[in-house]
Amino acid sequence: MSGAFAKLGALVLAAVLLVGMQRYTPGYAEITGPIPLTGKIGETLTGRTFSVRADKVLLAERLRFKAYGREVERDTGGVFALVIAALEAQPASVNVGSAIWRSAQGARFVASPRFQGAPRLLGTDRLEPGLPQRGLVIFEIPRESVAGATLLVAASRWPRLDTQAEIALPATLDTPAPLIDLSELAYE
Amino acid sequence: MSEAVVSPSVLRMRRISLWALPMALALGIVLQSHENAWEWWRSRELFAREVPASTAASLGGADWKLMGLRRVAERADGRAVMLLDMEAVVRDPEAFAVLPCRLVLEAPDGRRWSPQFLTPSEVNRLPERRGRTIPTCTQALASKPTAGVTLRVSEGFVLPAGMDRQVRPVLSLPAGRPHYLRFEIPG
Repeated sequence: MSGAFAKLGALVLAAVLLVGMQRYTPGYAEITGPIPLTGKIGETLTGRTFSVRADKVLLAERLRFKAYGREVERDTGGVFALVIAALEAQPASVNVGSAIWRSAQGARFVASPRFQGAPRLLGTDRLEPGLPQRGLVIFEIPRESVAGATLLVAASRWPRLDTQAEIALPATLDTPAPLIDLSELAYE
Repeated sequence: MSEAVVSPSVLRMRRISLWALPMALALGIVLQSHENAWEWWRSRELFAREVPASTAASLGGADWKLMGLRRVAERADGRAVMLLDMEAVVRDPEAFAVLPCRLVLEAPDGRRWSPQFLTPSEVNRLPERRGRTIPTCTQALASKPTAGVTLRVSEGFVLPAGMDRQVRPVLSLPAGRPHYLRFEIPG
C-alpha cells in the first residue's frame, strides 16, 4: 500500500515540476536578451564594448539650435528631456546607436530624430578608445513619463547577449525651462 | 508485494542504455552545433603571426607588407591623424575577394582603433597623394584583382594624443581567420 502511495506521490511531484518548468522557464528572447548593467546618475558604467556616464538631466518646452547654417526652434506637446552624458569605446572602436528613455510605467522612448545637425548629439559619431565624447541625448516625452525614468544605452536598440547600461534617473526633476539654446548649454 | 526477478541480460541492456545516453546526448550536441562552432572558429582572431619590419607575410590569399605608418596631422584637441600604407600582392583572387577587411591599429594594452574617414585637407597635401586615389582595404578586396597584381592600400586613423608611437597595425581577413597578422613598425 505504501508503495502505491510512493508511486502516486512521485507522479504528482513530476507533474508539479513539469507545470513549474513550463510556466517559469525563461523564453529564448529572455535568455539571449540584453545583459543589464545598472547604475545611477554620475556613475561610470563600463560594459563589454563601451563605458557611459550620465551627468545631468534637463527639461525644456522648446529647444533652439543651429543646424546646417540656420537657426531652428522646436516645440512639443509634451516635454524635451536632455541627458548630458559621456561615452567612450573600450577596448575597440564601436558605434553606440541606441539610447532609450524608459518611463516608470515601462513606456520606451527612443532619442528624438528631430534634432539632426544639432551640435554634440551623442550616437551620431563612432566612439573611439581614449577619446571620450561628451554631449547630449534628446528625448521627446509626455510629462507623466518624466518622474522615475531609466536611461537605457546599448550598441543596438535590441541588444542580444550584449551590454545594456540602465541608469536610474532622478525621481524628481526641476520644472521644464521655457527655452534652452543648445549652443549655450554648459556640457562640462 | 514481491520484488520482480530481473534477468542478467536485461540488467546488461539497462547498463548499456545508461552508458549510451550521455554519448547520444554528446553526439546530438555535436551534430546540432558543429556549424556554429565552425563559424565561431572562422570568425575569431585567435592566433597572431608577428611580421618583422620590411617583410611580407601571407594572409587571406595575398602577401601583405607594411609600407609605412605616419603621423600626418594633429587636430585642435591634440588627437593624432595617422596614415597607414600597405602593399598586397594577390596570390589567390578568390580568397582575397572575401569581405570584409579588418585593418586596425592596436595598442600594447589591447585597445584597437578602426579606420576613419579623413578630411581631404589632412591627406591631400602629401606629395605622393596629389591626384591619386589610393583604395582602402575593403575597396581593394572588392576590386577583385587577378593573381599577381600588386595593390597599394591606405587607411586613415585618429588616435588620442601620445598614442601614435605605441600602436601597431593588425590585419585580419575572413579567409585567414583564426590567424591574423601583427606588423612590426620599421625603425
